[in-house]
Amino acid sequence: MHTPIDGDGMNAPSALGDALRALPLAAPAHDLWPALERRLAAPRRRRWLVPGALAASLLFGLVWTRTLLHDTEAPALPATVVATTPAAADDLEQLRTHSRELERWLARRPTQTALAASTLMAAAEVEDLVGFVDVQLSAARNDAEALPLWRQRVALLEDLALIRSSDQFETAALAGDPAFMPASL
Amino acid sequence: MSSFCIEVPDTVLARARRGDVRAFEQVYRLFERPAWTLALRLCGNPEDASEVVHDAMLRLFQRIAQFRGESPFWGWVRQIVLNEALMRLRRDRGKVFEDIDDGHEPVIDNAIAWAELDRARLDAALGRLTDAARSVIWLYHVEGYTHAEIAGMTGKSVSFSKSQLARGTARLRELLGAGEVDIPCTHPLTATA
Repeated sequence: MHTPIDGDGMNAPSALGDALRALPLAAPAHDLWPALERRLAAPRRRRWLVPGALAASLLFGLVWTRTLLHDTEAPALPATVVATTPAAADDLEQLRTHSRELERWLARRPTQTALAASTLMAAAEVEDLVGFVDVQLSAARNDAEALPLWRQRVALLEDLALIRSSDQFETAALAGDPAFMPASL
Repeated sequence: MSSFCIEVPDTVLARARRGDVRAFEQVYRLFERPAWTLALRLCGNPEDASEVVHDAMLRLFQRIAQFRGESPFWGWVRQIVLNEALMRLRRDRGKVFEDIDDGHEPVIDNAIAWAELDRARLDAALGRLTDAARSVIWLYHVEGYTHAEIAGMTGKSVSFSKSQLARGTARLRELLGAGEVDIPCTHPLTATA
């Protein structure tokens, strides 16, 4: 954050800032709460739940290694993961399968474990990007258009899996949470 | 100081973490205006602002149980609203953060007495800026983000942020100084604030 100062020597920037901050807060013309309350009461659906991935093996390797070693440093992508990821294979069906498996793995993660705000934001951003890719996928006219989007989707789900596993591992796996044991995969 | 800087009682947060809908509503009521104002300033219209706030609050409540709390709650709320608004701008107006010339050569020597300015005129003039210039001006001056932070959020360079700030400020001077701004009869702010 910066402290507003007279950046251009004309006193204008900070005076403009003062004027802008003095504007009254706005409010929606209609109360948004009733619609929010209805949505909160409805069963939750993942925004990006479309077909979906193979990083189960990736994550198995990652979590297994970390569980054994009680490693608390930031996770590095194991070489075996890169080797087993079909992203290089350019095969639509493989990518879809990979995507599905990743989604299954993510769906099994505990949803009530406390996460750092930064992790929550990162996960939310990646989920949004997955949702955006899904919108594009729904408009893809053929396999040639869909293939790069599926690659992108798988890469994003792998990112999400690493984000979730790295943060939750720190707080839960070392405390013996069975959800983080290899058997749960 | 950001209008988001609101202290939420621990008891309310604890109830919200347990899924208490009434606590959600209390949190929503506390942040409704700061959230809607930020969304309006970035998106530029009330319809998008309402959708941004709705989606951001939904996300907040769906994840509140996971909020660990080592950073201020209000900062997290603001970040969610900001992300949602920026995402909408990118999605609906894909080139919003391209460095597009708005066709105006800004007059830069037009001195404005900002402190004495009529709020409704300033408000209306803001609405005449490009989405990118308005967003950068708001994030920099009102929310206090640095150019580096704005560059990170928008996926653009620091110089882009600086140029949008300079260009937007000059355009505001031009609009207000030349008396180009008419105050609309039903401006969202004057109508609802």
